[in-house]
Amino acid sequence: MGKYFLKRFAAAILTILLIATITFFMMHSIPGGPFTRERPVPDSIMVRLNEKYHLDDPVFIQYLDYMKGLVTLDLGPSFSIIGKDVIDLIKGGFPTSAKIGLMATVLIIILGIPFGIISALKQNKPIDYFVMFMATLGVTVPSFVIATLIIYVFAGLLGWLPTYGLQNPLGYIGPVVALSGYSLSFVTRLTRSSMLEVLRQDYIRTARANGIKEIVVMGKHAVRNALIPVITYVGPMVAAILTGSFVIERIFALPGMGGYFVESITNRDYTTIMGITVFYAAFYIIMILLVDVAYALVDPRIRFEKGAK
Amino acid sequence: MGKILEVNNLKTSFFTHLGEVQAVRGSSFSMNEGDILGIVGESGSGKSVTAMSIINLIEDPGKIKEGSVIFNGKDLTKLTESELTEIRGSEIAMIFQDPMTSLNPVFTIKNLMTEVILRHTDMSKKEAIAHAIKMLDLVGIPHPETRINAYPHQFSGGMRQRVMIATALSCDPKLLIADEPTTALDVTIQAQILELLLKLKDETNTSIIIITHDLGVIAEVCTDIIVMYGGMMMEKGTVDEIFYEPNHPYTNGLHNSVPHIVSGKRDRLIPIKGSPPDLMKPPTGCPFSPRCPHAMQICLEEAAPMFKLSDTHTSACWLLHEDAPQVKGYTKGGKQDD
Repeated sequence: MGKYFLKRFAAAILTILLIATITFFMMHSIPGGPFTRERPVPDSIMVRLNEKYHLDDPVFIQYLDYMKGLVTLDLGPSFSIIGKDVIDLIKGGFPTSAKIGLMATVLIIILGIPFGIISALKQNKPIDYFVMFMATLGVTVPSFVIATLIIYVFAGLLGWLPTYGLQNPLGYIGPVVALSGYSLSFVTRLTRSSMLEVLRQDYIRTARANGIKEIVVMGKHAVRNALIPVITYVGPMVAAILTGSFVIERIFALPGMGGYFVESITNRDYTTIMGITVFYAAFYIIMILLVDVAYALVDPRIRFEKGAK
Repeated sequence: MGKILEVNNLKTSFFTHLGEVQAVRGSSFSMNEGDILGIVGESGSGKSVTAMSIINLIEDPGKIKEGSVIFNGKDLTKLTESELTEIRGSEIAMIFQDPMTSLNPVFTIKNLMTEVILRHTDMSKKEAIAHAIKMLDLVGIPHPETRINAYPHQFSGGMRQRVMIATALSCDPKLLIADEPTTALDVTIQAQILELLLKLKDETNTSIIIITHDLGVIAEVCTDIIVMYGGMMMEKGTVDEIFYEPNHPYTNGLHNSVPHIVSGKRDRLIPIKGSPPDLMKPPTGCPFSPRCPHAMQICLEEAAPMFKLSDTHTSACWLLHEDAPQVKGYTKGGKQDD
């Protein structure tokens, strides 16, 4: 088991370095630089700026410089937000994004899985049709439409929620609901289909033939097996949700990380692009690792197959 | 020895979107304590549905339409679901065809077995574990004290079937229903499992119903046999009667399609021509009539009643009617049994 995680950890580091490398060269292949403006900066200033930030070095040298920093966890200063380090940007934006994301994740799990189970148990009954209708709606309607509707109806017409910001605790409701809409619907559908699949399995018939009470057959024998595909989806989903959504953060005017990321790309803010990408990648890889641990907890077959090697 | 099970005119159908599939169309039989009854038939003959109907575990959209299943004086078709769960696993236990998929993969054997034992007995958790270990030992699992902590995937197919049997017998059932217990296993393992069933039967005096399509299995272990076809019973009798004095063209067809290994002889198998009836639109007459070499006009029009050949031997074939033409191999003049 320990050896397995050591191997996974080494692979994770390698993946992050690879992602950093690819992003670095792709980023530099986009024309323009951090100091390219609509109104051209005088050449003499441009030369000084490039010199100060070592942008006049060959790209490969810049790459080595950057990687050297990365290994020591130094992400460098931001190119467009003067006087701030990239690590400060992440420290400033991530908590907000993570807070909203965590609430959305909790909402997705505590509602999505039970909805899916109920829907499966009442297959082709009105409640199933209703849940599936809502879930289809949730998957197809984009989050910015949901967000706009929430603001229009609950903030505008009814005045129950603030229109922007998080100063008021009620301000969390809009972003959390808008952010969870898609994944909540997806988890519901996934749980339902997975549950229906499991209910057809022979071991469910065995449990019933052994006189196990139906509620135990469902709660113990079926659900645990049905959750395996759901875990697969939830892991990466948590990473995506926790690292912030540009659209939602824009609409609700939240100081999250998603906003910085998009801006950094349009500004060619090289260090910020790199910093946030590497951060995303690391986070994502950790979540996938957690998914594998969760698998092993839920499904003993996985535990032993990997432990044996 | 008293009667343990009596099935009367059992009819089970599946109400699908395409229409009603009449899987079982009137089975009647009874068995005594200590009997080993074999139900044999090809795929779709209604043998598994008959078994599942006995413990009333027909899944949607299936339903028992008619008939009764009297077990120990109770009509199981009339019980509520919660009364039935008390009987399933304790008085009537079942084992299934595919041991690879019939055990829940995410729980240990200990968890699965003690769950059943605790459900149906007053034992404490500790006693239940000890009992489970004893049962595993009984079915021939080596080192049961440690193996009980293993997961199903750590057992081979034959071992898993032993675990299934140990679980099924753990609450001392009066009746064990084995639905194709050996079909998914190697031939050598098949023999071991059958031997085990016989041994346990002697030790626990459990009555057993074995459902199979394998005449060899039936010949080996059963005391009585029911031959099913197209959702109906074709012939019923003791092992000797069904194997040495078969009196139904379908039973004969089954015998002819089993390979006989005799050195030097090169015989072709005689298959039964055609395929089983569509149970969505079952034939009005005898279900076997479209494939029967001796079919008469009446066979197409009306299903044959059970003709009684002896106290234990009955056959649903019009050839046995006194007005039927004499066909070699079929005893005429059996009494009509209704």
